[in-house]
Amino acid sequence: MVTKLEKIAGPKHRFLLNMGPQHPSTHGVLRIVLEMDGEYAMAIDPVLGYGHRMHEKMAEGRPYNGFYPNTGRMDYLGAILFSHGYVGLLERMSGAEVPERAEFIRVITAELNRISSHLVGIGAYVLDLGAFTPILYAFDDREMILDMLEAITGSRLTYCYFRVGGVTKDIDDTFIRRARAFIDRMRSRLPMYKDLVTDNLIFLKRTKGIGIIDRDMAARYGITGPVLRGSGISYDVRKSEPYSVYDRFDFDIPVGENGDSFDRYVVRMEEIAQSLRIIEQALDALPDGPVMVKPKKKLKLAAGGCNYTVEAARGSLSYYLVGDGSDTPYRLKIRVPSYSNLSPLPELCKGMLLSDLVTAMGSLDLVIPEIDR
Amino acid sequence: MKEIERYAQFLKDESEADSTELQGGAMNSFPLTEQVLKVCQANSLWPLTFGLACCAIEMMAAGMARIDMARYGAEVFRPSARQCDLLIVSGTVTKKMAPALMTLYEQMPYPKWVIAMGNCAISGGPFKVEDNYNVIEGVDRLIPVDVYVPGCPPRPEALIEGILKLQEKIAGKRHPWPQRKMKDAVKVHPIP
Amino acid sequence: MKSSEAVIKLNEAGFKAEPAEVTRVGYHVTVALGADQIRPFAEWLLSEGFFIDFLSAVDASPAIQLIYQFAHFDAPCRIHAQVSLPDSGAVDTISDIYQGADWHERETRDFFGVVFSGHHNLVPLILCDEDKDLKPLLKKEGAKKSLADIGLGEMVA
Ligand code: SF4
Repeated sequence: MVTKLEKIAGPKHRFLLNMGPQHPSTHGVLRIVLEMDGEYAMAIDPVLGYGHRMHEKMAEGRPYNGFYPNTGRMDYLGAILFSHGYVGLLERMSGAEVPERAEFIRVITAELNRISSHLVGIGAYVLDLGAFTPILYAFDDREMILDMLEAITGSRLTYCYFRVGGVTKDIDDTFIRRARAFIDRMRSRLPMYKDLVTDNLIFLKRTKGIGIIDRDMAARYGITGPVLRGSGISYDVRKSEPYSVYDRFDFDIPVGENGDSFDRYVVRMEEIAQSLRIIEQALDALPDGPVMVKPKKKLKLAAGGCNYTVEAARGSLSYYLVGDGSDTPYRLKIRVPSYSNLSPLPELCKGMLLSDLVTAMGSLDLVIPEIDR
Repeated sequence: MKEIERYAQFLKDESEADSTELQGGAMNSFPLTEQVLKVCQANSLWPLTFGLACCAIEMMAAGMARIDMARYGAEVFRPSARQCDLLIVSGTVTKKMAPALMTLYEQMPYPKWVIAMGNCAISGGPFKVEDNYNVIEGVDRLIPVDVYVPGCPPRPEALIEGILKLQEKIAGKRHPWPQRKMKDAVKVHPIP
Repeated sequence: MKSSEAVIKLNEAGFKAEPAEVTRVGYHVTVALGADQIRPFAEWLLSEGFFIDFLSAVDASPAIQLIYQFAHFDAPCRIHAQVSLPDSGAVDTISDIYQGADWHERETRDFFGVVFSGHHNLVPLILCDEDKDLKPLLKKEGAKKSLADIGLGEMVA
């Protein structure tokens, strides 16, 4: 693309602009080096690694159980979803039984966590675009989820609640009452978000048609999650490779039409409504029984590779583990969704205005320590 | 590591500089103005928008609805280090991040304070393991820290307590500005 | 594309594919690839509409194993390919076919020192410049196990 400025001044007009690692709209410690032509970003080079916390190395140095806390610290906004993948993997490899009630509790807490993650994602996104009010509402709603989860998991953010064979603590009537109250409250709040954000003219003008991702691009980069579904492809691991008890619930996969920033935002909003549906059905059908089958003292897994994929808040999350017959993993590879979702940025934003780049990047809903691991 | 030497150099430069200049200059030569200045500083800390990892979300939560750090005068998050006087190190500092963090600290105008929020910033926390190759085990190896707030992550209330502690350190008194008592009947946030 | 269909088509295209027990290993098809087949394999996958899930490596003796995983948007079909790193320590890049592989390859170079020949920008991605030859995920002497011990032996082409 040749910009106006380039026509007048030739390519020598370009300059380098550094964005991050401390920048409010990179959502953490991402750094981007931009080659600018006036206001247009002509070449984009993301620099990762500012939050690299050696999770894969740590996994190799401790017993299988010792890695639970790490799972919650990769994507700290969707900690339960990350734990879900890891315990699912260990259960698949060891063949451990999980009581039905525990599976339902897992689904309920995981979906609550997904909602809280989307609320932060949406709030922070709109904040990037210059609107401060919605994030206050979003955090207000999110605090209610945190109250519920804190009561059963003991933590506000970095949950370590799932174990091989179940969950650590049963949910009680208070939790169920609160969860039902939350469903009603959140449903009544969704129209408010629509009025406040989705129908807001400034928001529409800034997001419509910005950062369009099509199917071919999604396949080449491995984009998943709400970013992919914004492009109209209904790929969701909960439906395509159902894990846990997701196949028993009736829910839709919201998809967008154009694949632009606005569609990705709308998909997240609609996913909140779908998650509420799942929680409601799970609460109605919640079976009785134990929530934990005590496993044998030490978990030892046979040699061989195994993969487990779940749908995290930002897309498909895979754990690939190679065991060697001992009680520590030989190699654990974690495929995180934001990593692949960020990688198209240079192609996606080439030739964009800088302010549109912030729009497009914010709509990817990134968590940087998850990308860097 | 280069950064450790850089910190040693920084401390040396600072000790050689005139400390009254750094802390506010001539204003400080009168006890009353000094006290007024300190009370003002303590009650309007401007933190830097600087999230490193998980703890940053709790820092955000501390500034949002419900917890509302604004009650203690510390809610004006500034995106530029040059406009701040409080650096909240909220999360894990890695080798790659260390030089950037030090630059941010050096860019802040005097007087400036640092809160190390979370175990990672205090000591490396969960990542202080045997074969650690990338995490700095404690941000106090790079910059001077005034208040440590432990937790993984610390609750937002803990961060507020850290800010109160910092106010105490600055002004010499826990509540330098008289606080208003809340009436018993006020229900702050009813939980269903 | 159904996974059974994919196995047939892969074999027709000249790759050694076998169905896998998905409830046990979590993927539908395994492919044992030779190092020279990576690029045709990736081209075939892209033309069939697969997306790249991840690319990584496992350090073992006698050679580092590269793991490629692909999946499909429309049908549950997860393809898992394994390549033994040749003695030269280099394999062909697929980052010009699947641009998403670009970062995965750079990460694998950071962690294992695998060289992807033909990659346009093989500089450190995650590690800082002074650590660029650290290769943190390589096993120490004595901790390295043979392929048979970690159960990846049968999948070598
Ligand atoms: S202290 Fe814990 S919560 Fe805070 S950044 Fe470190 S790991 Fe995350």
